[in-house]
Amino acid sequence: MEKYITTKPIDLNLMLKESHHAEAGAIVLFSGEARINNEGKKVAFLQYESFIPFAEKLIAKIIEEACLKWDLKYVHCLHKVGKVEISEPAVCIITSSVHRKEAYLANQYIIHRIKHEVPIWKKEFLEDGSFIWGGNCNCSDPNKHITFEESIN
Amino acid sequence: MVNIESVNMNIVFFAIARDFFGSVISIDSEFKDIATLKQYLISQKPESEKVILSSRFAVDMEFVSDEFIIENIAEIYVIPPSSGG
Repeated sequence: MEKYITTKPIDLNLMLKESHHAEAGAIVLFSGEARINNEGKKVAFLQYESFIPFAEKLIAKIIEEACLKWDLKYVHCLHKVGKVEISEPAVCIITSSVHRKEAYLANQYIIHRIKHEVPIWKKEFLEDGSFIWGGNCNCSDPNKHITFEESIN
Repeated sequence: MVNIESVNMNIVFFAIARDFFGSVISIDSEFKDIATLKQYLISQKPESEKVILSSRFAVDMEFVSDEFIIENIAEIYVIPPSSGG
């Protein structure tokens, strides 16, 4: 059974409810949602696909590395594949820590690496019936890759 | 390319790469390395060049470089740039 990739709607309230930790003074929840406009084009809905076993392995590794960089009390990630309606979460990342700084940084680190490295792909279906494959980054070209440090500045 | 022996290797495509090649193609030839395979794929579908050159290739759930030697490999995955999130 998949831990980080789901075909079901993401329940943000449930994810938040499960994230509380007695030693955590801060919880950061990021919800990446489908928006109706992209570069001037009206979006009808999104469709995500993934190479699921590889994505699961890479997300586990990213979370493991985040836990080595920051003292996190709780961390979880869920990415939906399949159809995502406008305003629906496509991905949710939750991080918690004693103080807020670690939770914010770790959360940004995880979503940044997922967007750039994990084999998950977005297809934007436009209102005119056409579609566009989404593109976050050309990670195979080091000159074009945006690092996590660049992304938070 | 030298066909040393007849082997079947599946090349599995995802997302935009699948739009050019379909989900999987079976290749009955040997390729020295990933760079050679990339050139072969581009020669088959010249319009896929940008996608193939920007894609990462993976074997056994690990990304591999252009220099990776293809030897006794059953499946190679073509992973276009990610767009999750």
